[in-house]
Amino acid sequence: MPPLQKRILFVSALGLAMAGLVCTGLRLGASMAPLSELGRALLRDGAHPDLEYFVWNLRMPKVVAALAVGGALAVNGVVLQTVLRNPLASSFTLGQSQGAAFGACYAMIALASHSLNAHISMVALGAFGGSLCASACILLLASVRGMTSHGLILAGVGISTFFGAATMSLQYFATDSQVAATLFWTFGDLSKGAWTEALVAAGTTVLGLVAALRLGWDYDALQWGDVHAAGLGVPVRKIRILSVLIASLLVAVATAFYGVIGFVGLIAPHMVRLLFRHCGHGFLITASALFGATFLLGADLLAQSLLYPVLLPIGILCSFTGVPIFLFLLLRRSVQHA
Amino acid sequence: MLSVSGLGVTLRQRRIVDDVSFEVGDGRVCALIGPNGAGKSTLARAVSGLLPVAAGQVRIDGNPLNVSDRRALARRLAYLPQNTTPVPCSVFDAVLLGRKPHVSWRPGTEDRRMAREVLGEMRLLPLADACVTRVSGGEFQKILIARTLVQGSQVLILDEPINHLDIRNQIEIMGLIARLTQSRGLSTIVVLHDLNLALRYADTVLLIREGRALFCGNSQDISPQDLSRAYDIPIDIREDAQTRHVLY
Repeated sequence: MPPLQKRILFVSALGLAMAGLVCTGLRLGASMAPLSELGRALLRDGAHPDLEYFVWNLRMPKVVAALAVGGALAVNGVVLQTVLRNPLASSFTLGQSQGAAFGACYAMIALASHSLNAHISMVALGAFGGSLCASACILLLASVRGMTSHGLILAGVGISTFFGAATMSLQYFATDSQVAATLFWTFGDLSKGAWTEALVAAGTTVLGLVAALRLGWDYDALQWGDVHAAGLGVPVRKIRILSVLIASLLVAVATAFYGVIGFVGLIAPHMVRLLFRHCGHGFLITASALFGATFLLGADLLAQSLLYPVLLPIGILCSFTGVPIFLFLLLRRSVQHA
Repeated sequence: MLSVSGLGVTLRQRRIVDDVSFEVGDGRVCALIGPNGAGKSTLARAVSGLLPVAAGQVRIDGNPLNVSDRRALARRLAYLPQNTTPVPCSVFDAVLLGRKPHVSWRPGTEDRRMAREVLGEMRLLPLADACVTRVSGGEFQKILIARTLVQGSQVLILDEPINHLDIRNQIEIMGLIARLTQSRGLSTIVVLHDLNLALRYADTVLLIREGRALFCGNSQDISPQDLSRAYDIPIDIREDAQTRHVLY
């Protein structure tokens, strides 16, 4: 099949899957609402006030959040993997998520804003600061001469452990209610936020996506190595710093509002690369964002229905799915380098 | 015309290139030769604006290079580093990337036309849709050279473009570089190890050792003594009606 047709088919299939999952997400509650009732609830005709309330105030923000966070984490993964030239890079494996988690916990405990809704902007700022700290460490380590991609991942383990320990230290000195709030928050759960959080996350994702697409051709050049890219007129250092800032912002907003959700940034780009081995970054970023959004929404619906009436946090399900894929990629690379 | 005057490069408090001056005229190929560690690649990178210069100046048509504006620089000077690893993308996309300094968002119809034209000129059009990782070593080098041509710069700096190639591909690629340099009126610097190819295809030769120029001039004028002094082995040059052969 010609590459263009294959791409159109892939994006169309993702679009259809996403539409189906959105529909299911809006219907899924204690019982599955019939399509006709859902349609009337969406039109707010007043026939089913309870369903209207659930759809508009609980389910729809969650669906928007799933799409936004999935897209954000996927774009974050593509950007990090490209600028660090490391296929195993993602916010979770490099410690950005844990950095954001620490920043958010710091805001909740040390700045005494343990009520999430009261000081959500403070928590978001804390998460952004934390993820920026982790990003600065990554950039510093990535610039060390001779640093291999495996070395960088090990450094990511170190950064994650450091921020994990720092978070635990904060929790140790916190009150019981603060510990409970931060612990529950680190699980990663899309039902935490309301419309405000969902819209801020969606807006950030769109901004990040547009910025990443704007740099798409620079990323194509960077794939060939720094010297090549510089020879083609790419301001490598500037692009690298800008990209890590974009990646930090994307993961910070997602983590600040919905907790730590791992491996989406690893799964989505690799699935697209598996199907389209030599696509440019313009398509890779778009398709990964779509895939990440669809994947997270699907995973969230699964988390809701797997042990119903117990609702599993999405972070746990993503980690269970992502770890085998991460190990597979790691083993494949290790075997290739042996 | 590319002119370099009194160029000096210092890396980690060590002078790698010292007071090197030379010129490459339009439509001329300059071979940059010298033993391993002589500073050839460092000199090539410094001239390309990719390394900070401690002394001297690089000018194109009399205008000094502005290294702070990478895009503007890449429009005037194309640099091909040595030992490039293929990246999984189509041959056409790899060549089209050469239009990067001219385009800020995505390449347009005119950029695609130019890439196609260069691919045709280099007889690479049948490979346009192939994956770069699946082509031969010779074809890959040609793809990289095609990219530098698509860049539309007046100066080409090619760092060991025939490394790891068999003799047939070496001759083919050096012939191609010489032909395109002449037909497009480019000023080309080629870093080379093969002295015979250097004398056969280059108009001028810059011979360096320990960062200093031992010889700079017409390739017909280089003597066996210059080469022996640079490489520390006895070297002779035999001449026939058409070319000069280096024997060692």
